[in-house]
Amino acid sequence: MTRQRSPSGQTRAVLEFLADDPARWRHGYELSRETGIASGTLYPLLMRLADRGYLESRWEPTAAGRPPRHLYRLTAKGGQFAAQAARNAPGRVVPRPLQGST
Amino acid sequence: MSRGHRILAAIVPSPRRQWVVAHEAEYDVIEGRWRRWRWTLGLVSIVGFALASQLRHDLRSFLGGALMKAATFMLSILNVAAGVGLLVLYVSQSSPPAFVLVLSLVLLVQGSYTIAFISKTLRSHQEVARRAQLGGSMLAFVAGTVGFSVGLLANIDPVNADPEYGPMTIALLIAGHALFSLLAFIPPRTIKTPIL
Repeated sequence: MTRQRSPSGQTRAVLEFLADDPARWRHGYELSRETGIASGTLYPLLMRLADRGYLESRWEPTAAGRPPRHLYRLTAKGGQFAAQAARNAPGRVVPRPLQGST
Repeated sequence: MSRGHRILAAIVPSPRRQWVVAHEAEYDVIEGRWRRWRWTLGLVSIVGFALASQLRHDLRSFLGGALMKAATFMLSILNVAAGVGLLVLYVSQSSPPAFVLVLSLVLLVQGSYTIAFISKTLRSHQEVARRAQLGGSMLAFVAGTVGFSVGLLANIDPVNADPEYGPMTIALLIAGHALFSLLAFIPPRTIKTPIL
């Protein structure tokens, strides 16, 4: 028996942001900046989404001397979950970009 | 990777470790000291979450395993034996209090039902049996804990300076059995953290 709980506002904000352009890969900092969610909340949330198969990730190769960055986007299952979450809780979650972000 | 990140990444087991590494990789693109500091601060929460989720997974694997079911089975036998003992006591006394009969029946039902459930005697109605097992265990845990607490409080200042350990022991048996039963049979995916 798996209890389905409606996603939190923060999860919905991330889902909506990723669902805006599902094919596009996003960086963690971009997600944090655009949704206003601090990294300490964002990454556990991303881990859970990935655990449940809603999110796929890959490493982005970077120039020598810089560590590779992680990229994220919704899977097909994640897209369905995002749509369902939006239907169950109508009204767009307004992102709160971090102060001073560009 | 900074030394702090390296240490923290080392204590986080794989596959969660990659998230710490991913978090660190973003650091270089963040502009502004305040934002970098805030980003780094998030690492505490990420490592805490990663370790807690791993621990929970390991604990559930252990608790949901055969060992836990075997322990519950043994406790069930103990409860049935205690129930029979109380029933004999009730029958053999001239005017026994009614709660002795009630407690003996609770112990008998709790123990025998769990034995039947574990041995899959109720497999034809498995889903109903499982729900009854979990529901009954929750109820028994609450009742047993309350009973134990009341007994404990009563024994702190006993009437006629005569402490009663019998009811407390029976309440402990009921609550202990219920707790083991809950841990052994709650499906691992039922409980979720509120973050998602």
